[in-house]
Amino acid sequence: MAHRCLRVSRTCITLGLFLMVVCLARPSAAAWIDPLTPEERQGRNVYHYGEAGSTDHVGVNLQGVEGALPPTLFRCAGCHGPRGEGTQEGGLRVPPLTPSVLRHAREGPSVGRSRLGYTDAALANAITQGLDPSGHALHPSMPRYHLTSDQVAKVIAYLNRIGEESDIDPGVSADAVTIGAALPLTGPLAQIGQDVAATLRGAVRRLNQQGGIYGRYIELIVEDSRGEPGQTALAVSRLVEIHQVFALVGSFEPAGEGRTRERLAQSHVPWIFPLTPSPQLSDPPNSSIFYALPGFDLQFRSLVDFFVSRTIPLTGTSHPRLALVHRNGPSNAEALRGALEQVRRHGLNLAVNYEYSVGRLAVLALVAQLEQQGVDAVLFMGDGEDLVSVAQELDRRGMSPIVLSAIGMVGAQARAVPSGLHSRIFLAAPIDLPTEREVASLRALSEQASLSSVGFARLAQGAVSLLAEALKQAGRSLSRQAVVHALEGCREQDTGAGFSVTFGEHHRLGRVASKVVGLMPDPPYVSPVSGWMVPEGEP
Amino acid sequence: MMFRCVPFAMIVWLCSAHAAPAWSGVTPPSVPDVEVIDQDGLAHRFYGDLVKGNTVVINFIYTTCQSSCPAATGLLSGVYHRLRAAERSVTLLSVTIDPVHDRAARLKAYAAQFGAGKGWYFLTGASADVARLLAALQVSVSNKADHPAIVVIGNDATGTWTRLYGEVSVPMVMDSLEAAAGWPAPISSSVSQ
Ligand code: HEC
Repeated sequence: MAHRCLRVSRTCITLGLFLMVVCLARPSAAAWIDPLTPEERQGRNVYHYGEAGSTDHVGVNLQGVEGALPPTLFRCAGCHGPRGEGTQEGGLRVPPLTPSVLRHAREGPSVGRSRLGYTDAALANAITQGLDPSGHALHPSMPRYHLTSDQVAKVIAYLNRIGEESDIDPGVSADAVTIGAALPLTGPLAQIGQDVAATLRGAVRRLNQQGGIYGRYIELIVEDSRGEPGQTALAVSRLVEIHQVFALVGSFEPAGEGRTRERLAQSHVPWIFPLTPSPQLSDPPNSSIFYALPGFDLQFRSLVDFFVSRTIPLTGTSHPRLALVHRNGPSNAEALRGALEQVRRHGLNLAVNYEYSVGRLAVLALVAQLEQQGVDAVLFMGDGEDLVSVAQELDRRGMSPIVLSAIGMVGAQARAVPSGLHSRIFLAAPIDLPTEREVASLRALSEQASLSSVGFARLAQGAVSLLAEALKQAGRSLSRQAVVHALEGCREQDTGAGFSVTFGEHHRLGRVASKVVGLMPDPPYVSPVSGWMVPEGEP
Repeated sequence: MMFRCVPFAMIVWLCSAHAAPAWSGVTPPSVPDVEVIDQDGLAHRFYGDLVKGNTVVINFIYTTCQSSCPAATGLLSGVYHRLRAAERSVTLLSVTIDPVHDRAARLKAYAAQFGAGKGWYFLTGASADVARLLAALQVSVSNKADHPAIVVIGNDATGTWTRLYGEVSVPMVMDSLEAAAGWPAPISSSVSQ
């Protein structure tokens, strides 16, 4: 960061205001200016996240407990509150740490034990030894921290600023919130990346034209991820560490990429709607990442439910023989897991389990096997091209099993299957197909004549509108935690992009239900054949 | 379903200026034999498999709680390490009060952060079963964030039970354990400090 304010906060805010004017005139090159000194910021990280930077370790002990405890579970903020206001939970009363309380003597007994006001040295004793200024041992729940004297000094420096207006998360200033997106602006996915970037910019522009949120403009920074895992991780770290963005919207998450997520978990940056065909949720979920749509695991579970409840009669048997045809790869692993779970749940008969690698689908052998095994239905996990080859061979042999797959896998190419099989193909869709009007308004928003991926563009549009909603809910005194909390409160929240989402304290996936669509020979080529289906076994 | 009545001994603690009032139960609660699941996903009968004939320390947590549960679990980890060093066989039971969300995998991750190993179970189960357990141990959780900090210490063999409230420290737990288990030498002083 180029600018650091080393003096009092008022100077910073004035400077901030001044720079904002400059920035508004030149919207491309704004940099967030930290009103805290680097020392105070580092102290703040210890206080809020139990982290003293990537190299230094925070050690935690409880009185009478040998062995270190996890610093991220013993964050000062967890007990003393995000603004040092103190907390009360489960019978544990934790005192406030604001300067006005700490620096003054306390008279007991109505407010606890009496003690003198804290000096810096006394504070260091409290944090590292668990002693108050009068030399009394503090409550055993107050941990003893093993920090270098330098780290202690930083925490104390931060405690002098806690709860002030300058005590803010990165990316927030008096009149702007900086957000970021990592998108493939170059490389094979560049067209999609450019379209999504244009959509995000359009959505942000519209918000700003309406006056921003609580008088703050939204500023969007897009970094090129070049569509590959290593570069995505780098782009995200540039956004978080150099541009100091407050939140991420709609960035790409390449399949199987764990590093990006880890980095974000460490920095607690809210990330709304990662663009991914199939979210990978951990348990417990990463608390700052909010996914929009169900992954292939949930989609295939809904498909199997649909098969059981609606299409078994079409097979002419009450004990249909199923085939699983799947291309290997990480996103299909999810689909496979979901499908198998549901096949087991319904006690279905799996007659064929056929796996192939990219470009290695032996169509003739596969279809021969399906015929020989008398398969009634195929669960297909591969791309559109593969689906079409299989369908053509089925058609040539006069076979017409039910074929179940997902629109997100086979895409628009599915339209090329022989028309004789149209009525036998059912595809899971995690979102309603866009209406003509919706597509037109997306084009207008992004100022693009055509969009290479309407699906991702809708996610991007939804991400910005959900962020705007969360910022409104979080209020003028903005923090990442408040935004996460506001997002957790979303119940059937409309995203303005043709779908609504529900989150909760433990829920980081906006939707779990899928629809099933069938193929038609004419535009719009697909039409829904089911309502929204929550897979059996989901709460 | 099997029930087992355990008399709670009335022990009043007057340890320090902030010692909270000790529980002085009038009705002896029973420990229900409900099915619980530990952090490895294994099912146990709460009374029959975990409590019967044992000396136990029981506390109540949930993994998303911010202040009191890390403190309470940290405290138990202190007790756990001392017991191991002294080679005392005591079973530690940390029961989630949020069984719907704290499933085995989540409890496992939580337990690992505190170095929990053999003899320290983090327990969840069906909501109704956990609710019965909490009711029997007289832990009221009408509001998750308000759950009282309670440590229950018991020796099923002798029927000696104690509840510690509020500002509990490792030595306090060790002292009650000593009293409950009837150990000859005071291990809290020999192993601590
Ligand atoms: C697990 C909960 C917990 C955590 C985590 C925690 N504290 Fe405390 N802290 C307490 C409690 C409880 C007290 C009250 C002690 C008392 O009154 O005897 C306290 C007291 C204090 C006091 C003395 C306040 C006074 O008025 O005397 C200071 C200073 C303090 N904590 C700083 C910190 C800092 C800095 C951190 C993080 C590095 C931190 N605490 C982390 C629970 C916690």
